[in-house]
Amino acid sequence: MNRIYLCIAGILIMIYACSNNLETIGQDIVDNNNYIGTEDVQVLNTATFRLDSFPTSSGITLNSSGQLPVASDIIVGKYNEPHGGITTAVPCFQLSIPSAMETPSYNSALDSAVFCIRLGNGIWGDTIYSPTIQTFDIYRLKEVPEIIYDLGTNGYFYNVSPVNYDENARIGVLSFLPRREYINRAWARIDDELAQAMFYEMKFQSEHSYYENNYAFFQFFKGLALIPREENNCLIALNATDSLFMQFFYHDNGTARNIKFNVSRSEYMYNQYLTDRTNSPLASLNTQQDEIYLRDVNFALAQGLSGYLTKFTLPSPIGMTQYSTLLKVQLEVRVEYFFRNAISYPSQLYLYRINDKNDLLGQLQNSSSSSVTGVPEDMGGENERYYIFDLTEYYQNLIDEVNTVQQDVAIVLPGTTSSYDYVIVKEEPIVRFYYAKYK
Amino acid sequence: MKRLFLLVVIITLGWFCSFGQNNIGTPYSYYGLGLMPENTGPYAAMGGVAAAMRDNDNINYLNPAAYTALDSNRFYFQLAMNGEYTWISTHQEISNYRVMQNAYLNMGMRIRRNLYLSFGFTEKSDIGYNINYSEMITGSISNITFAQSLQGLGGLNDIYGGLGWRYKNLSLGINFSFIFGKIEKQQTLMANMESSYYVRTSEKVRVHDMIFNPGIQYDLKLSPRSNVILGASMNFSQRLWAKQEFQSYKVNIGSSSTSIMDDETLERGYIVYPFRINGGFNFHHKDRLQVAGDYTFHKLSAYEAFKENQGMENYHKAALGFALTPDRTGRLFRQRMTYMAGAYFVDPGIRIRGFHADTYGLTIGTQMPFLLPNIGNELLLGVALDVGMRGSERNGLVMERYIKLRVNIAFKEFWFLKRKIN
Repeated sequence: MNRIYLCIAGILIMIYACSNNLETIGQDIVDNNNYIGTEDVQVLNTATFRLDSFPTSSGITLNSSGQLPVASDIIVGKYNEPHGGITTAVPCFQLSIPSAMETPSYNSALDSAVFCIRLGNGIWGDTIYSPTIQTFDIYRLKEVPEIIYDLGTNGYFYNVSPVNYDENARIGVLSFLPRREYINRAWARIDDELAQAMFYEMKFQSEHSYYENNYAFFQFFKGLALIPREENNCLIALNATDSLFMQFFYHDNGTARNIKFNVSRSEYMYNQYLTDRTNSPLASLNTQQDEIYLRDVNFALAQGLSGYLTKFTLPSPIGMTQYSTLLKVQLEVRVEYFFRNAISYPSQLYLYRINDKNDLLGQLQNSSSSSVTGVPEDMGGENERYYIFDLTEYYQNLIDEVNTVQQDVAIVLPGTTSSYDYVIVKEEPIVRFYYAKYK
Repeated sequence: MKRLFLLVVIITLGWFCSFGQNNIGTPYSYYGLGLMPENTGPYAAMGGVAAAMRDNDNINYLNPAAYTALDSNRFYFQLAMNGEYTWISTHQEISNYRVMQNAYLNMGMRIRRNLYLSFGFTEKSDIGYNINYSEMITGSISNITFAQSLQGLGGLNDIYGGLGWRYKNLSLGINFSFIFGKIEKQQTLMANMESSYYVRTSEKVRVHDMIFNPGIQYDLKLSPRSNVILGASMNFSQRLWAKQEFQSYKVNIGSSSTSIMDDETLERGYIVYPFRINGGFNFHHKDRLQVAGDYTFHKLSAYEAFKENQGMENYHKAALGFALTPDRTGRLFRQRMTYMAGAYFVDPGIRIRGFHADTYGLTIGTQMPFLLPNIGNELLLGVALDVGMRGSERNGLVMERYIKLRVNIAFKEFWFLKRKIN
């Protein structure tokens, strides 16, 4: 009898051991008409416009630590870009006396006074094939820049704010090849007359010496501006945090000493960016509301510093038939791309909502916590690249709200005020709707 | 006796548990009501012949007229399970699957003179497939693909109660069946892209209704040592109440948030369970040799769901089986065993791109009678091996080569004996 039970149990175990794993093949024999497909809708009216002005200073709003924002990079130079014209960047900044400034003795002697720089976060121009020497004149400002404290202005200086320097007060000339190793070693000798006068004041401080405090020095010195020469063809970011300074070297009783005047008063430090569009395809962009369509000049430009933005109108969501739904929406922007280009391409792009006056209203949002950004994908042909923006949630929200508004947007580069990166859009972007037909 | 009871409970529980699982893994079950059982019943080792089969060891629920062959003083309990291993291939791909299948659970007894009863649980059809594949999304710039998963599950089940009545050599019977079940198709559509949605759908047809299966058998004496049984069972074309439901929702891959898109009852109506007839013979010689043949016709071309013909073709099955029992009363166990072999051919009515998904199978097996150490209780252990192939690799179709191990366990116990006490 036990053998019977054993026999039955063995067979049952064999049968129970079957795993019911039914992953099979055979899609070709199943009558299935469901799929995921795409529908492309071209955006409307791709065009270039330029911002009338944009802030280039940190303003007077205190940060969370109750401090004024620390100065970061400043841009200096000039670049002739064939699409957008000649952009000139002139920085203007102030120096301060050291916090514990030592007073040279009466018999100390000035050796030299120099102005030093360090490279910041980028160079735009030819630094590889045939770099040419870049020369900058260092001028003292005629007067302290005026901060406007009106409500709402936040004390900003703008890209079009004037740089009021004294053409007769050039205090030095800075020259270097536009490569990191040369830039970081570059210095300019400060005009001897000025240097001697300032050193004399250090030694024999009068009753109301401008070394008495920083405000006095600020009122005396007023600030500096770096003016690029005509022949320059590079834009260079300089590190303004600790690496931009004026330094006095002297001997005091046989001992070598120095005194360093660092950049300070970040609220007064700003960049002027002016773009001469004469002879460029975008010459007719005189006001912010002027637009030049891609179809007319075969490109649209978005670029930092020069204020160029590419605008277009996002289409309404496509109509969904019954039993179909959106799975993904992407904006695909094909841009011109050259390896080792003189101007680099941004690692991401933003989309901003704009109004009919081309004012920026804020970043386009996928959700309350997620902004729409575009990232480059290398799936184009030679000399082209795509930036892909994920608009899935944006369009899903429109569909949920039964909203068919066509939104005007502009492509904005990160660091518009501190980077000369660009994208040149070569064809009308498309919005690609991925949808599922599921029944 | 306790051990026997325990064994029965365990087997029965396992049998019911297996109903929660898919019983089949063939993409051919996508069509119609699912795949009809190709070889089932207690005579699976004889190619699944059934129409004219009758004996006092097995409950032949496929023809209710056969209930009259049961012993008058015993209660019958019978169940069966299958294990299946299938190699599945197309001209490009190879795969395999394993499943455990329940087959049937029956009980039977005599209730009046010449009137017999059986009731139980069987399957009418099985659906089970899980097809995963990916295709290019037309129009995407970097050859993005989407994955589609198609799953089918369910099938129709049958709870029946049947009566058999005998008059001399003629037996008549009828099964009253409550058919219920669902035909479910699930689908997942997913683009292989980050931050997108995927879609899941479920389309169910729920079915429940009654059908009737009459059957007839006639035992014709050819000589003192041989006879032939002729039999047939059938059902008329009948409408089964059905409800079609559709649900869909989409899921955000990033946040896993879900939104329901459709949750609707599409239709209430009926499906047509078409006319089916099964006829055959069973030749007995010297109570040792049996030769049986069957033919089944199922008019699946008339299969309709919600007034829409489903485009199937008629189902045909032919089966031939042999059985040899050396000596039913022999002294040796091997003499009392029944040795069986058979073959069958099934055209399931599925025609794809001009080709039928025909099935061919060979069967071999045995039925082993065990006398339990009680007053004449018996256990019949049937084991059958079924080797076959379904479909073809031609024209993009799928070829399935399968091996099935089938176990049929039948107990018969004296319930209606009165002890005579002097």
